[in-house]
Amino acid sequence: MKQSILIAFLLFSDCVSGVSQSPYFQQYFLLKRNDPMQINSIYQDKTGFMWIGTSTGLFKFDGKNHQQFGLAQNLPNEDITAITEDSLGRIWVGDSKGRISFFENNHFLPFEPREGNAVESISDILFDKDGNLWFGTHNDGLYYFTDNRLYRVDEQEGMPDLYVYDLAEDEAGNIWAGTDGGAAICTLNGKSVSINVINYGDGLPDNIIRKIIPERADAVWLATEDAGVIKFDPTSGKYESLTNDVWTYGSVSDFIMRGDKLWVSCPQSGLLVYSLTSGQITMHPLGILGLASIRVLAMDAEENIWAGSKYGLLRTPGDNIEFLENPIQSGNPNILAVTVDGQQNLWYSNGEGLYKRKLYATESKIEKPLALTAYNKYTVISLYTDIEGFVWAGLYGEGVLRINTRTGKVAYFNKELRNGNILNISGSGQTVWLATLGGCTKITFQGEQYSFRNYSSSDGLVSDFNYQVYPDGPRVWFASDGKGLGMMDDKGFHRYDKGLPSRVIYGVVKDGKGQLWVNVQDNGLYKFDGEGFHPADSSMQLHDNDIQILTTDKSGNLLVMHREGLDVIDVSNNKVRFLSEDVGLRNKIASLNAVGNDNAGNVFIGTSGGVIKYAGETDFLKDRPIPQIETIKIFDQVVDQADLPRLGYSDNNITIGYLGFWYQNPQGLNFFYQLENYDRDWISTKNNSVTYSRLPPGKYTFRLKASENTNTQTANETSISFTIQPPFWQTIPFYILATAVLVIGGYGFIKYRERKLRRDNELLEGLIHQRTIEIKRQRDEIEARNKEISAKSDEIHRMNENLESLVKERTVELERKNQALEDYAFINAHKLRSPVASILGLVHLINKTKLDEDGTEICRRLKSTSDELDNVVGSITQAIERGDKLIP
Amino acid sequence: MSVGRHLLILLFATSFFIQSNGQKKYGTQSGEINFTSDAELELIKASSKQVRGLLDPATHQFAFTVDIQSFKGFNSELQRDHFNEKYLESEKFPKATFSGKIIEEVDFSKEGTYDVRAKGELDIHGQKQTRIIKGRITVSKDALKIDVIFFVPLSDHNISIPFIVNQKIASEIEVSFAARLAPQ
Repeated sequence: MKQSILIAFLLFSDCVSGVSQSPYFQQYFLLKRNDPMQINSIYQDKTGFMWIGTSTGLFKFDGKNHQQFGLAQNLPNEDITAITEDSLGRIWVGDSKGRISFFENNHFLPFEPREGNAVESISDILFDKDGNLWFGTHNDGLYYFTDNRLYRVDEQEGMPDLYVYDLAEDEAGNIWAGTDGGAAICTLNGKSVSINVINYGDGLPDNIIRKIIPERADAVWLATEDAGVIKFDPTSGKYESLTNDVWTYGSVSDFIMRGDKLWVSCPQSGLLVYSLTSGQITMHPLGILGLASIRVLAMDAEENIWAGSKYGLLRTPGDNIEFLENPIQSGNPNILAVTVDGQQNLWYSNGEGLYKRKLYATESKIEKPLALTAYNKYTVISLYTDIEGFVWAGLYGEGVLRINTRTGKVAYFNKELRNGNILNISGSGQTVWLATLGGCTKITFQGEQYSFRNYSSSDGLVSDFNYQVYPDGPRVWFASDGKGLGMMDDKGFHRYDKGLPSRVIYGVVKDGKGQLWVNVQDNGLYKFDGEGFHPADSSMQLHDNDIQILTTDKSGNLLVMHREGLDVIDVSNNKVRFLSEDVGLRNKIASLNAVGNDNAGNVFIGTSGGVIKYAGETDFLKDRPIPQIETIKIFDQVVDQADLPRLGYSDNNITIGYLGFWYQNPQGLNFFYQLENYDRDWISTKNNSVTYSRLPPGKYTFRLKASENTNTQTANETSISFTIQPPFWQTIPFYILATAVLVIGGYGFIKYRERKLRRDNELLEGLIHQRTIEIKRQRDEIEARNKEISAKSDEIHRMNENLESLVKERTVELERKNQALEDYAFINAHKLRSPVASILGLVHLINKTKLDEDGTEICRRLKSTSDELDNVVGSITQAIERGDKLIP
Repeated sequence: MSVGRHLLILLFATSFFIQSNGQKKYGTQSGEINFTSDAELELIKASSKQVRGLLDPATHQFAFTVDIQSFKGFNSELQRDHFNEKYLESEKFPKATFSGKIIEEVDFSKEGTYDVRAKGELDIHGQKQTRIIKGRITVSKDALKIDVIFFVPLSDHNISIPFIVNQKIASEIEVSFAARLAPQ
């Protein structure tokens, strides 16, 4: 120990120059073949697009894709020097020839006031609260356009100079113009403008005003040529500088306010960051991606800072994470341990030695505190700063050093320790704990008085191999290699491993809510509930379970670093924000438990690629990608989104194109959409469009969320509603019309029928009347006929009676005649027949006798005549008989 | 034609006339411009006395010009040839000019020393850059003395240095300029 004291004063003699830590800058190449281009102006529109005015045209950029506008889109000149947006969302640009154009329907239209255009380069364009257009020029004064007339403001109106750098509107609606002759405060009264100039005479330290940010009525930030950025109070004429001394960073080309910091571009020196709360100045110097040549700065809604230089476009997510990528210059950048001492020096070690350098110095020297000591050859594998601001350096097999950072005096302990391999050093108050490969050692110190207490498994310690000791009030936790989590309290030693998938614990930490978490080998985070362990909630899913660093930031959020990057876990809201390539965390693997903090709560992590500084800003946890519905196409024809509510039932092939603004990590963007009234669930995609066809008539709302992870609950949402109108025959008006037609038709029909019936009735009545008359007439006639018939009937009756008596008389007469005839017939028949029969008998008898010829002949003749007579008699008889039959 | 060039012509054209307010313009009596390139491997210096310029005290406007080929004092003839042919292309761009306006108020009727800033267009190698350059004006009884030191980044003026000699030529050249002007 004596030896260490002797050489202590020689410690800080070995110095090399170094560079400061710097934020991550992403460079964009918007031209083919990655050609450099000069950026003149950067603007984010209300939608979220970044518009970049360059010497080779205007670019519209969404983080992934860009569109270039130039002469083909009617821009009169491709050297775009100023960009703004009007209240209608139209982009206005000014060029180096003094012309102004505005963007409408995918083309630029010239702004052509009757009074003509400016003759010099447009430096800035602004629309005031009343919608008046203002623009400043490089050496052609200030212009404003109101009531359809363009007015020029020059020295005659009181402009201090014609070279206008910047325009800004204050709360009262005054326009501030920064010129070479001071700031001109322009107030529009009707059509005329009055100008009040602030310059040297009003207390300004410099007349050349290059940028103006009016914050309040009594605080206007001004960037000057030689006096840096100042806060000017127009009410008192007093100003405050950022530096107490003379501004040495050269002229300021632009600056922006981000949170509590000013980001200032100084072309002669670099990009300067000034903390309004601490007054700390950090300079990101010349050389880093051409930072010195930055002309313009802009900030987007995500609070990314965009910087345009002569060579191209850069973006930085800010200085929440900064890198010291080559902390040892040409040495091994693999950092094994890191800490920050009480004088804001960063201490770090690689396999070759221990180094320290000042944080927050513009030009920092790297020192090797052990270079000239006996410990120069030792490998420092752990570092810790105690309550007195001294640095403890744990050695690989050689014990531990305590270094007085003010005097350089070194105290060396080895033989006091049970084991000299110091994997990790932690502490609380006047106590320091060493985690070693042979148990743990507790060192209590007071000034230069030290007491040592070694613990091993024979004392009850959970294991002799421990990665970390975590003092926690009356308890001390031990992260053991293979025995789970150990704990020591006033009752003794305890061991916990219930629920652990592996008993190898790399680290322990307590979050802002007082929950104890352990880093389990290859298994991520487990929460300890006093008895056992539970895996972290699914909403706190890590991007890798092989954790090298487990610690907390100043807000109590868990900070978990693994090969994929950094997971920041907001334990209050169970949210994880993943930081990786988008903030520059690429190919940086942290050394196990190589972490340290400074007094401000910044976290420093030693990695294979240098040191990472994490400031623990919480604003970014709220940042969410902004979804944007960009185009609506009906059958591949782009339609105005305002026309959507009137979609006809036949316009039924809708393609919705959308995008999300997440400049931090555009490739990591996920979309979730749902067409309400159609899609049952949210649909996850990385595509940028969706098509719906044959939608039934109805009302629909397309909801779109964009998220940088799979958690949609907190994601920003946008939506668009539209209605597919039913065919006209399914519409209410049609129903009403049809009903009306039916009612009117029915009514008309009824009326018609009624009228017709009435008319028919009348006709019928007439007919009936007529018929009645006729019938009456016929009846009369019939009656008359009846009477006539009746009279005839009497006559007939009388005639009948006469006839009957006549018939009776005739009948009697006929009956008498008939009787006579019957009698005659009877006589003929019966009395005549008998002589005939006798003759015939006689003839027959004659024929039987022999007669001569004559006799025969006479006989024959006699017989023939007799037969003839007999036939006559027979005929008479038959006739009588027939008469009998005829006469009843 | 640029404003600077206009201004230059205007100033020279009107330099023979006396302003109505009685203030005469100042013209160069003598002047010298030096440049120094302090690179890692080589220090190059050269100077020229062929500086011409005018300053109008009424408007604070000024214009100065120098012939590139008039620079002398190089380490070698070869260096001078390179300077003229490769870097400055002096046949194509024979002059360097700086014309503009003095921002600060200077009372040319009152003897004394004034620290001023001059804003104007610096035209070197055919590339114009708007620059604000600090300088000192000393007003004496019948003359005006101007002393200026400024730096010129070669990249501002499209002067590219081949990689093989970039350790011999600095990326920023220091220019010092001194002139004595007398009323015309």
